[in-house]
Amino acid sequence: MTRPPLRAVRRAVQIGVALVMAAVPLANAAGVNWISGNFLALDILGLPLGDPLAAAQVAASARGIAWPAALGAGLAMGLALVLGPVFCAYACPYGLFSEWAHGLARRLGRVRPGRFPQNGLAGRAVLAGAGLAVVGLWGLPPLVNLVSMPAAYSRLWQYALAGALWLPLLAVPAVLCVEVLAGARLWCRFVCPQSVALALAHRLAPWGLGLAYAGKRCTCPPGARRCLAACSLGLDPRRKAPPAACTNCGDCLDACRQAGRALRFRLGRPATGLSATDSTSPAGRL
Amino acid sequence: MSDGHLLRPPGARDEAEFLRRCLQCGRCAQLCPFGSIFLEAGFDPRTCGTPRIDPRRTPCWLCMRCPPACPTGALRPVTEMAKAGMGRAWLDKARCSTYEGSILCKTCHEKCPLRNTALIMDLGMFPVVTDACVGCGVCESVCPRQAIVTLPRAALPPGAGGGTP
Ligand code: SF4
Ligand code: SF4
Ligand code: SF4
Ligand code: SF4
Repeated sequence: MTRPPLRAVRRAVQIGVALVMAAVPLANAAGVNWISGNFLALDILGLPLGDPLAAAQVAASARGIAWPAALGAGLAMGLALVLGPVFCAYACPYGLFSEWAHGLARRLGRVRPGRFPQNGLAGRAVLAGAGLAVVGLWGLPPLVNLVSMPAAYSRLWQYALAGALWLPLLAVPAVLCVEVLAGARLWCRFVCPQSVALALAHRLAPWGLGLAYAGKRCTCPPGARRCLAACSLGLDPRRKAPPAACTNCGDCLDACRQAGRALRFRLGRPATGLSATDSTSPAGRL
Repeated sequence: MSDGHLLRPPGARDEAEFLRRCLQCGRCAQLCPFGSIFLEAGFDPRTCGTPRIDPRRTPCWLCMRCPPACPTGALRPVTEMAKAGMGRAWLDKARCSTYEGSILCKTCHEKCPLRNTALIMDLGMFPVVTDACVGCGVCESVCPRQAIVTLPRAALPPGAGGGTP
């Protein structure tokens, strides 16, 4: 029996999240309050969930732990430790728009693989760290939130309800245009400070969900690797350890299922002792 | 709003600390059953996205639902109306109908959530705002003569009350 491609499931989740977040302010206005907040800090049935960088800025600036926000950040980090930065691939509405923009760029023939470096996490980490340091040292408001693309999306709806416009919102279509022209998902790969903590958790947690590549099963001829063409982030998943910027979206995996099935998801990374070429590892397939 | 200071929801900490803590999540605004809180728009990166109240639009009715909803303690989790500490109302006697002697109005007194402590009736007739006023802005919103303005706590002269915690 064939499984539906992961991508179909993922799209449904992404669109669902985007719709729910658009509906939150409306629902609240109608007195439905089991969910409230935006991507900076959410409350779902009393469970906090939030952006770790936002909570970290408050903690650094106010020199103290702000509890529900810290708890929400902790839950988000816990999720990333186990599943990787799946927020980016399954929840972030900007990620969805950016993928659509990338699809458009592909159709326009603007995507040229290999034009941008594989590693972007270090640069993103420096940006996030610098922002956090500036906010913390000078005791400033959490200014890095202004460039949170998911927060910008929820704010669009929060403001729309009030009939107001929040001007930084205009940045979202502007960045999308740049991404189409560049033929690469530049924001998610090289700028987004919000995803750094999640990506680092993915990188450092040896037990988390990640890609495993079994080189000897790979059947694609060089120059026509399906996985490379499928990754909207322009990553090469054929590595011993998954690329640092990988969001576990599974697009490469879907593509590889049409070929040698050399890529799999696996709990526990090859780096922890599981061989990258051992496709029958008992660590489990997902 | 005087000096660019914004009237914050109940329980808000001192403006500088409030700004450090407010995540701009909007929960307080979303959960206010009266739609009293709106999120500041505009270009100022420090304040845009933070919650404020404009009594002439919709005052705060001191239901005290928003403070416990704040995930960062930018709004202290107070639930007592008397501790809302938002600011203080000022009544301009020259504009008030009662002081002016045209009609015996009493509207502000009837609507004040802290009537008889924050807003008392001198000689049973003349409204007087006391230091127990917390600055919810209800009186400002109902006064038919626009004789009342609500100053945010940050804009108050020192020692001017405002239900400061
Ligand atoms: S490497 Fe694969 S799983 Fe990772 S982001 Fe790219 S397509 Fe998605
Ligand atoms: S106390 Fe009640 S009425 Fe006042 S701002 Fe908060 S939620 Fe709204
Ligand atoms: S709930 Fe707290 S953190 Fe969120 S917008 Fe209101 S004051 Fe700011
Ligand atoms: S006097 Fe006015 S501002 Fe003060 S508590 Fe009463 S209604 Fe609110």
